[in-house]
Amino acid sequence: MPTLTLDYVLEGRQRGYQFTSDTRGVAPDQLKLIWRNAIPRGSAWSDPAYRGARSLKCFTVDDAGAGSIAVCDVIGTDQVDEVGRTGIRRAVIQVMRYAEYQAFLRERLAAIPVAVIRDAERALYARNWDLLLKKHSNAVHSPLKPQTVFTDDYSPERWRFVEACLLLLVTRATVLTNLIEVTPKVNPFADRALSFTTLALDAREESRLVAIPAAKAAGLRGIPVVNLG
Amino acid sequence: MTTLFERVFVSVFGQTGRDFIDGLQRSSSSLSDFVYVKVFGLPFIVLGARQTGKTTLIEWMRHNLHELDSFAPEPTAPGGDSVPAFSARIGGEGMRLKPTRDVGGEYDMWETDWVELFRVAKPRGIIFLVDHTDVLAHKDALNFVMNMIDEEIEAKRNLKAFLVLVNKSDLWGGKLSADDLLHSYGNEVKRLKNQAARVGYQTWIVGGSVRDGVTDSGETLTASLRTFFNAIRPKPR
Repeated sequence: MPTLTLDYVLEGRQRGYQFTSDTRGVAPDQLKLIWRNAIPRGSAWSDPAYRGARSLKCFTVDDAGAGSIAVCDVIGTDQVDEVGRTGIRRAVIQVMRYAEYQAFLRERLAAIPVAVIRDAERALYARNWDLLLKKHSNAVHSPLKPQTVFTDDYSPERWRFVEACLLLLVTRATVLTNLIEVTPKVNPFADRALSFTTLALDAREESRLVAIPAAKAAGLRGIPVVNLG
Repeated sequence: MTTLFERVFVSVFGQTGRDFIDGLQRSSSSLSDFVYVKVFGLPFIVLGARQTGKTTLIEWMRHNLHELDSFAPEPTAPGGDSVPAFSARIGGEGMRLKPTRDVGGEYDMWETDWVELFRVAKPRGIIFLVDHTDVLAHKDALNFVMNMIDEEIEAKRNLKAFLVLVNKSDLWGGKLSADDLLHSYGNEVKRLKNQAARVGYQTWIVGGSVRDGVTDSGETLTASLRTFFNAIRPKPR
């Protein structure tokens, strides 16, 4: 499946965000969906703390048949545009079949040190009730497809732990992950692939599971958060 | 246009019935105005080519039209950012405003983010920003918006006003006037006026600076915005 790059172009007639890779092979509707959703939400990416920050964002682009999932690897760049604006991000997007995606998630989880995963499992286990209750008190998101927002103090090192938490949940590796959503094997209404974002600066219009820095959580109104710290 | 009920009511009760129905319509219009301006927010959208100051304008309104000293905008990413309805004091009146989203101005965003925003917001007004740079890009963007208005029958139904703001007068004001800058936009301005007459919305062109909150004629930008928001409210003032 194709790999797409969404980049900020600083030269030529048409500047700014655009796909810089060949987009042939991706259906127009899927391309629009990827365009709108690949880059995590929120402002203040120009804050030096988030320069070089990485986010993994995954969402379904086609639910039919073998299914297609967009896997977006996003990085905060140090680019500066013609008028001095920063906070520019770059996304490399792979569109995967569902089976490939499952293998990708397992590999990504396996690449995280065992000690970090153990910490993540403990943190999630201790927050079972939070996970169960807070998703349903989210006033902003749909009650049928509730969103769960995680926070922690941001640092690149700490975010490996946060990424481990989200990967554990989306791989449905433990019983407690079913508190987010019972597996589609049991619940026919469950999402086949739970959308998630490992780092965004705003939870609105974000994935079903999203992690945001604690400093940005103060601005969320009506959205309960699960603190991982 | 009178309904069958109104005609029957007036034929039975005569002038008293007519006065009653007129009063009812005035009350209903005032109620609708109150609900939009004080509760849900006046739906409008902000468009324009990249780097014209869309994010800064929305942020300025969110900060109650106070100067933005330390605000450093970032290029708006594809998809844009949601902007919840907020309250601002526009010319002495507290108004609730609803821009819905802050969208980017890159060419690739026109067909996707702009059209989607126009359909979702069904705006009562459009603020379109241009500046002194890249006339071709601004003309393309303005033509695209006018095409969009023509094509999106459902979304344009509520459109009442279209304000073109020639922004960044702090950068061009000393050397040029808004008329000088708009000299290259002759066809677009003519087309905008024709469309306004055909579709039924009001249109203005104002030069000014969102950063400084003033127009190029020295008035406050708030006065222009008050005119715009008063035109898009259900009971125009």
